[in-house]
Amino acid sequence: MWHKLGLLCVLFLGIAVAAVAGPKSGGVLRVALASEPGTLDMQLTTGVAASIPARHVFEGLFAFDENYTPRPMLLEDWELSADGKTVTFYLRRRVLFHNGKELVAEDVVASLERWGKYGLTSKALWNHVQKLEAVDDYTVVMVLDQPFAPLETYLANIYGGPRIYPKEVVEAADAEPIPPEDYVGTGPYKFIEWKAGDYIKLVRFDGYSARDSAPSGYAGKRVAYFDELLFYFVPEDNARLVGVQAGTYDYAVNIPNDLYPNVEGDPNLVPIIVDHPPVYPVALINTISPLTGKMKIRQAILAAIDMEPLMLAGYGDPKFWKLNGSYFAPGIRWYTTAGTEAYDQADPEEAKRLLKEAGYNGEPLRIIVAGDMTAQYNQSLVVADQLKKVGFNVDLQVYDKATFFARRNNRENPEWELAFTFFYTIPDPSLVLPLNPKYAGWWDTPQKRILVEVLNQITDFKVRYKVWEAIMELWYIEVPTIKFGDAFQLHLKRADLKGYGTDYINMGAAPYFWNSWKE
Amino acid sequence: MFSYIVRRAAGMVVSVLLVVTITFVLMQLIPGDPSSVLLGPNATPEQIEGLKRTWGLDQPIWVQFYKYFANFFHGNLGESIFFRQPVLRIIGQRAETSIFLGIMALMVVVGLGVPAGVIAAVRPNSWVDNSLLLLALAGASIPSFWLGLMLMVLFAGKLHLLPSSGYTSVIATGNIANLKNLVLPAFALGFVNAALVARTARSSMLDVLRVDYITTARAKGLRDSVVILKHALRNAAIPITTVISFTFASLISGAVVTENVFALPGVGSLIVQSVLKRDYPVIQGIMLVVAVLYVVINFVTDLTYAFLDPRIRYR
Repeated sequence: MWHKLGLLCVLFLGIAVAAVAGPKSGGVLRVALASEPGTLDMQLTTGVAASIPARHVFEGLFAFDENYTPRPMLLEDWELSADGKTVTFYLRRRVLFHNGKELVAEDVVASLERWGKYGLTSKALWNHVQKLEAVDDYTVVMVLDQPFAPLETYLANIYGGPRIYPKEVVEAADAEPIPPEDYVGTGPYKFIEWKAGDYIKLVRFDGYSARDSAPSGYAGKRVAYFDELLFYFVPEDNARLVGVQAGTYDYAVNIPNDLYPNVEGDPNLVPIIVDHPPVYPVALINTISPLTGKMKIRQAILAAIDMEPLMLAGYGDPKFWKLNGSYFAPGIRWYTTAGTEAYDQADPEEAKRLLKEAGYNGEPLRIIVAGDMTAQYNQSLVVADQLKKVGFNVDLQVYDKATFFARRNNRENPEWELAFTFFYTIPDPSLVLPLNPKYAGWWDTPQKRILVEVLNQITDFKVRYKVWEAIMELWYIEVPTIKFGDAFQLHLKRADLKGYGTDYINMGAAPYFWNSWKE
Repeated sequence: MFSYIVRRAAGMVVSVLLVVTITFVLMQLIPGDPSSVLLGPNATPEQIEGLKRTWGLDQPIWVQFYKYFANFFHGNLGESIFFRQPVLRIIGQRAETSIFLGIMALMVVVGLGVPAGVIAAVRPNSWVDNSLLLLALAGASIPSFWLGLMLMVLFAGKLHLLPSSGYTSVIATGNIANLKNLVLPAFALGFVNAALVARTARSSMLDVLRVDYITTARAKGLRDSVVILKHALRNAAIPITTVISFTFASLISGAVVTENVFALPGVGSLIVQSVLKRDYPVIQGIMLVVAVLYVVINFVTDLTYAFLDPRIRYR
C-alpha cells in the first residue's frame, strides 16, 4: 500500500515538474528549407526562403504582432503630426549591431534611403517622402507630401521591406545585394556562414537588446535560447520529411500535403497545418494583351472556372484548402465578401455568352506556368481543360521558374494571357501585389487608381475598409486576376521543439525560432 | 611517347575551349536571368532591369563574351552572381563532397560490378549467371533517385541507422565519421552504375575465357583462381577499365539527382542550382572543370592501356 502511494507521489511530482519545465538555453536547431535563397538582403528580395533566416539577423523599425498589427521594434516611440505629414521616430538606445557598433539615426536614414531607391515594396510610400533626416543620434524625421495610412505596415513588412543595416554596409552595397560577409543586423542571432548549397549558420548574439514587452508574433521580447541555428537547403520533399523523422532536422517547411498520412500519429512528430494565414493560389491575367485586354474575355474566363476540382488538383485533401474568393482569409480584419458573388460561378453557358459578346474568334489563349511549382502546374491543367470546354483555344506552356518569371514580367513583349502563381497573406491591402500597376498583369484603370490613392491616404480603418470593399467589387468586375481559394501549407517539427508552433502558429508560413527551445 | 602527350594536350585544350564557348552561348540563349531570380517573383520589370544594369547583364552578348574570355585567359573565372565569391572557391568548397561520394560510389561499383561480372562469366548460363544478369538488369532499370529515397526511408526514417541527408566536411572538421552521411547516396549511385560494369566485365571475360591460351593454362594444371584472376581478368581489363574510368568521371561530376535527393553540397547539385538561378559564371566554371576532368581521365585511361597491355605503344 505504502509502496503504491510512494509510486503515485513520484508520478505526480514528475508530472508537476514537467508542467512547470520552462525554456532551456543551449543546443543547435536544424531547420530544413525547401530552397536556397538568392540573398538575405531583404530590401531586395521578396522570397520567403530568404526571410526565414533573415528575420533572425535583421530587424526593422516595426514588427507585426500575432494579429498582423505593426508594433515598434527598433523604436522606443514614434509620433505623427496633426496633419499626418510629419513622422518622428525615436530610436531605442543601446541597441547594438552585430559588429558592436550602436544603432544610431544615420544608420536608419541610410537604410531607408536605400530602400526608397531600390527596395521592392517602397515605391507607394517613397513617392510621398519629401525629406528624411537625422535630428540627433536617436531621432529621425520623415516629411511626407500627404498622409500615408499604411506607413507602419510598410516599415514592418520584411518582404522587399526596410531592414535596418549599418550605414557603411548600405553605402558599400548601394544597388547591389549586400554580400554575405556584410550581413550585420541587430537581431537576436548573428550571421556566421553561408555554405553555398548546404546551409546558413547563425549563432546567438550575446549583445542583443531585447524589448521588454510580451512576445506576440514577430513583435515584443525576443529571447535566443538556441546557441546556434542551422538552416539547411533540402530541395527534395521526402528528404525533408525523413530528415525530421530521423532527427536530422528539428523543423521542416513545405512538406507535400499528400505525405500527411506518413507523419500523422507519430508521437515524435508534430505536423503543422498552416491554415492561418493561408496562401492564395491565383491566375494573373494579362490586361494589356490584345485578347485578355478585353474585359468580357476576362469575365468569361472567371465564369468558366469551377474552383473545387482546381483546389483538389492543387492541394489534395480538403483539410489543406478552403474555397474563398476574398483576397484575405476569414479571421483577418480585411476579410470581406464584397464582389465575391462572381467567384466560383462554374457556369460554362455564361462563359460562352460572354465570349460571343466579346467577339472571340479562336485566338490562342497562352497559359504559362512553372513546372516546378507543382500545385500551380496541376491547377493549370484543370483550368486549361475547363477553358477548352467553353471554346477557348488554349496553349499551355510549361517552363522552369526562371524562364517563367522572365516571360511573366516582360511588359514590352508579354507572350502570355494567364500566368499561374500564388500570393502570401500580407498585412494590409495596399500591399496586395496587383494593386501596383507595374506588377505582372499590369492592371491600371482610372477607377482603380483613384480607389488605391484613397486607400493609401485615409487613416481611419473603417473608411479604409469601405474603400477596400469597393476595390474588391471592382476587382470582380474588371478581373485582373482570378483567385482560386485559400491553401494551407504543411510544416513538420519534432515534438521536443517547444515554443514555436504552439503559441504563434499563425505566423507559420514564415516560422521563427527565437523564444523556442528543445527539451 | 613525348610527342603523343604533346599532341593530346593540345587537343585537350581545344576541347575545353570549345566546351566553354558553347556553354557561354547556350546560357545566353535560354530565357530568364539572375536578377529576376534574386529579386523574387514579385519584382517589377523596372527593378529587374535596374539590377541587370548594375551587374552588366544588359550589355550586348559579344561584350560579355569578350570580357569573360579576357578574364578567363588571366586565370580569372569571375565571381558568382549570388555569392559574390570567386567561382573556383565555390567549386572547391563543393568538390570535397563530390570526390568522396565519387570514390565511395566507385568502391560500390567495382566491389559489386567486377566480381559479379567475373562470376557470371565463369559460370555462363548457370542459375548464378542468370540471377546476376537479372540483378544487373534491375540495377540498370532502377532510377537512382528512387533507390535513394527507399534507402533513406528504410535506413534513416525507420531503422535510424544512418543520417537521412546532408554532409559536413570531413576535411574542415577532421571528423571521419561524417562519411557515414555518404553511405546511402554512394550505394544508390554505385548500385545503378555497377550494373553496367558487371555486364561489361561478363562479356569481356567471356571473350577472353574462350581464347586458346586460357585452355593452355588450364592444361598446364594451373588453379582456376590463377587462370581467371591472373590470366583472364588482366586481359579482359581494358574494356572494364574504360567503363570504370568514365563511370568515375560521371560519378564525380554528374551525381546531379542523387546529390539533390540527399541534399549533398556537391558539384552535381551546384550545377542544378546554378542553372535554375542562371548564375552564369558558376555554370561556366563548372563546365570548364568538368571538361578538364573528362579529358584528363580520358588521357590517363589511354596511358593505363599501355600499362595493362604491354603490346600497346604510343608514338
